[in-house]
Amino acid sequence: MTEDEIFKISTQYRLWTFTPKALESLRGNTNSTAAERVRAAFNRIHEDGDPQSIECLTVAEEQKLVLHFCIQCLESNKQVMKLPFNVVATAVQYIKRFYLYNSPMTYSPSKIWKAAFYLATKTEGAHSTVEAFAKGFDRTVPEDILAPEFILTQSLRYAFDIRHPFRGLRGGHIELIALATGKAAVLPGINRSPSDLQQEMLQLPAPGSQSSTTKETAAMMLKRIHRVYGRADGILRSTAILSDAYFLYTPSQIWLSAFLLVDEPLTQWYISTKFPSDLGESDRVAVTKDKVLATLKSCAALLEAGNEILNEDKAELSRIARKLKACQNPDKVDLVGLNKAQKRDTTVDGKLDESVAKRRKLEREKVMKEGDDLFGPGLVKE
Amino acid sequence: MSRTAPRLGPTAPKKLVEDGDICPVCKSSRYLNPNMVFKVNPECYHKMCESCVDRIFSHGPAPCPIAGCRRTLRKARFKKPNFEDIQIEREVDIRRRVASVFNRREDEFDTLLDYNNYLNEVEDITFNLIHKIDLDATEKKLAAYADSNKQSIQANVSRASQETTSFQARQAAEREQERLRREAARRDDEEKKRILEENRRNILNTLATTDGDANRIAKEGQRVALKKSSARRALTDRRPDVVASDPFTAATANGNADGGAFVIKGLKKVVEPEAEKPYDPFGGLSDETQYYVLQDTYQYEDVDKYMSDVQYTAGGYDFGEWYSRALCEAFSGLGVFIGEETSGRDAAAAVPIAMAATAATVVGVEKSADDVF
Amino acid sequence: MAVSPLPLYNASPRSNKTKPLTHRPNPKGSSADAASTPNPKSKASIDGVLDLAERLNAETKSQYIKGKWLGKGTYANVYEAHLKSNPSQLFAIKKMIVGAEAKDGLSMDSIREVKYLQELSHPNIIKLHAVFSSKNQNLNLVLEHLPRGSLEQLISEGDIQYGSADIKAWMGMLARGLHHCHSNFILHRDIKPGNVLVAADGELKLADFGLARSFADPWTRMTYLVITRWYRPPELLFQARHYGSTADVWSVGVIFAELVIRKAWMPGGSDLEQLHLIANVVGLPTEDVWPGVSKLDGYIKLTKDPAAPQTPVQHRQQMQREFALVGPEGVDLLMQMMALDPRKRATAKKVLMHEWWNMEPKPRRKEDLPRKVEKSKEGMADALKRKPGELEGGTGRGDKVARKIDFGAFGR
Repeated sequence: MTEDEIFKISTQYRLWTFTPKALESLRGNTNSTAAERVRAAFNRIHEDGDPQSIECLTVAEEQKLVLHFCIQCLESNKQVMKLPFNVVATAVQYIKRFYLYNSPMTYSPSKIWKAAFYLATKTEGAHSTVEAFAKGFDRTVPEDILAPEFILTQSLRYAFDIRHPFRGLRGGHIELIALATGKAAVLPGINRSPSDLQQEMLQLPAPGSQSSTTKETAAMMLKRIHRVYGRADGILRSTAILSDAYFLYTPSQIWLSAFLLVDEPLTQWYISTKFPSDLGESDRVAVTKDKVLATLKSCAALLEAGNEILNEDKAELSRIARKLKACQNPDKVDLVGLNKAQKRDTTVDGKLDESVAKRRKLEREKVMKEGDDLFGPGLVKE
Repeated sequence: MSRTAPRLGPTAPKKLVEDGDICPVCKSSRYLNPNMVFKVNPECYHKMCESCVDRIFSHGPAPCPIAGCRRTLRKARFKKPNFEDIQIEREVDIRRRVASVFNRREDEFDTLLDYNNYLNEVEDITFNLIHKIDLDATEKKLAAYADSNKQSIQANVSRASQETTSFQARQAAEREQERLRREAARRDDEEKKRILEENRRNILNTLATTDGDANRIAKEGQRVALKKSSARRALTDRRPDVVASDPFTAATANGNADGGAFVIKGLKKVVEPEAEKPYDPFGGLSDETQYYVLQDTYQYEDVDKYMSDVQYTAGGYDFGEWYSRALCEAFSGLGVFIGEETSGRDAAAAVPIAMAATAATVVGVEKSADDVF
Repeated sequence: MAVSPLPLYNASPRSNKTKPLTHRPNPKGSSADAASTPNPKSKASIDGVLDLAERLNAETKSQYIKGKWLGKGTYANVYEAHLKSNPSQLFAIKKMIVGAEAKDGLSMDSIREVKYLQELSHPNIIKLHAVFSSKNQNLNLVLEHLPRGSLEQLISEGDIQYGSADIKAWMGMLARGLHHCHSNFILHRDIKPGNVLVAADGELKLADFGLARSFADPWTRMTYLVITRWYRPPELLFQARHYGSTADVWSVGVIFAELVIRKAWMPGGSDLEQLHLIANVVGLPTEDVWPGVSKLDGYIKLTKDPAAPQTPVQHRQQMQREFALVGPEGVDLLMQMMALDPRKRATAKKVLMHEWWNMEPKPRRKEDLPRKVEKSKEGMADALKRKPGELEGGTGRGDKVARKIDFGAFGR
């Protein structure tokens, strides 16, 4: 199986890649469905209030909210949990995927992001007991983390495998080092020897400048490659996972666009070595170099635009939070209770004896009393 | 297998001389010449005695001596009739001729109905031939079918002959196995008797030579006998005899050419068993790489520092595998353009937008009287 | 993706008999009461509005009709099922038993099974058609229907006869399945005859990815407590924390041997006994055969029984005697798969490139592979139903087809 075929059988490609239009319409629908449910829920509870008066979130506001909690997930890992980066990268993708089919108005992100983080520790093989995990957040009970897990896995359509670009970036880095030291294996279509490739590489202009003035030495080129790798890795670890890159592009395209963003001439040249012109008739002719470059450029634009996501506007966020409070779907707030109720009811269907009911009532009171505000407790400082 | 009708027993009491016993040509009767044999020619089925046939036709074809029948007959075609009644003889000959041409088998047809229709058509043709209904049209049809299906006729003929020979071979093999089994049983009995005998003998002489008490020695003897017989039984029955099955591969005829005026419907499309391709262990999937060529060694300091660590080398960690994974993931999906290729992904991915936008009908909530909480 | 019970349940509580609520729509206050009063009696009223995810799940769940109960695994019940649209197409629904009190939520092995089965698609790996969750949050995997049991039954059942052509065909399928896993960088880590199932058309399917994981980066450690002990390679018994794909190849090698001798090859009762068996049957793991082995954490100095073949030549002869059925090349392949040093051991790709596959006898065609005779209960019922005097297995069409008299036989 060729590399492309290996990607094509993955769930990320089959279930979780969209064209920009499809992504937009999907988010629009999720938002409208959720808004209707909130209004339906409200008019059932307050007969008098007119449902239209509730002002629901817009798609853009929802995006900002979801993004805030993704960033919080990254922070939590950086300061407290310190798990390998692919775990938290997977967690962020789970959150983004969850909020494609659900809306923050239905399920509050403040609860979902912890469950997603815990699920990611399990799927990426860095799992721990839920108690140990819950210690990373103050005033969080293990049930809070497990309660949303069921609806989360269901919304992820049980596709737990996320293909990240990090290892691909390393692969590129390795091959560039080999090229720079003149020991690279050459694709069959290319009729230039490794040393020619090396010389060509050394003549490449510095990033940002068009013409190449001085001829770099191999050592300088290696340093340049390491620097580009470092900065590209930085991009991947921030804007790439927070933006919609994973939905719109494939992992190899994502890391190459990050490379392109940092050092255009080097990447252009590197791509050219991958598409030998005299390839002759092969199915890859359809995948011409320019098409790939065009895709990389549009992805690079997406990544660049993603830079300003990081600096959040605190005021805007609290406004959205207040607005969410008003239009939160009442049914789905107490996930823990719901979860228990549903598991318990299926096991004990029909009659509910008095003591069980009373105990449940007290329990609910307790959880309500120390209920946390929207943004959840502050991070536990070790 | 055919038997001429033996003229056994007394002649019919009613008529002194059977009219069948007089040769219409030379009027000699069987009464005078008992070993007279009648012959018939399939052209006109007129009976005549063997001597007349020799007399008239030995110098080449000649017209039929019976008055009014002007067909020319040949000596070679004459044969002894199998049946008393000439009509039946003629019908059987016709049926045999037709059967030799229409010899398709049931398994060549898709459905039972097709086979029955085929038999029906063959019967129509035979009926026409026997009762001479538009004789030449039927003959033409028969001839046309014969030459357009030469191959399948030939295949079926050879198949039939093979079946008969293999049937006889199978019967012979069964008889052989039967004989072997009987012999083995006989040898078994002898063996058992011999062991018993030997056992009794050495019990006796142990009794005679040693002075130990009798029943201990007897019990000892019995134990030895039991062990020996069970060992022998284990030896014989564990040999799995694989039954030789003769894979009788039916030589399947190819479909009938549609040139003939007469086409049989419903024949199975016989697929030629394609030549045995050499076994490809990879099962068609080859894992060639598109965008990179894997080198056997790389320098990458993040990984090099582990290469010399014995926990990795002894544990069997394969750095080559990690490099191939890194490079594969570096380019996997490079040629996949999500904008265009939505076909590859299953439809469920793009949530049926219509479904999502269906108006949320809120089902009226009936008021339940009490609530436990 | 269950038909989520949530709307089923919380639809009912909004009956308006809850305490008069303050008008201020405090989401905490009102929803708490409303949400948590699932009143079982009015389960029927369904809140028409389902989340998109719930709708997707309901749609998948509705496509499959669950049939009779097939059996019970360690952590799952298996039911037969068929498509609503096409009842002839059969599936097996594996319903994972997720105890209500499962302490860490979804168990690790159901996560692994779902994660890796969704990623692989190959004729020799069991196909996961769909996943949905049922009412009480149980995970249901819709897998291929594999009625013919596992390789274990084919090996242990005495009345099934098979020869070297069958073994070659089965080994070919198993090796291809493993090669597909490894080319997708996934270690199965639990290969044993019990986990290799036979499909209706005779194809072997690798199943049970409960212990699978993807290839690890050099800086992450892996557990050595994987693969059933009889099929566990020596490096795991010596508690190596960094191993490669050849660990799976060892298990396939043991299966290869067991296919030939039709009984457990190295049934160790404990890890130590397993190591002794390996030392005697496969060879003594010494420094010269396997450089660095003594430095592994779990390394134990082993000794060979005097009876076992001492020199490599004696060992090869002994193997050739024991596995004569598959011929010298077959034994050569087996010994390459059972090399003690994991780096010298063949990878899945090298196994497939071995000479044995193109030698005589050719692997048998999938359709003619021997199969477990299906103890069809109905067979007995038919026998009882048959009218007296009717031939057993009579085609019952005697009266329909005209008896064809062979006129050709007359006068020949």
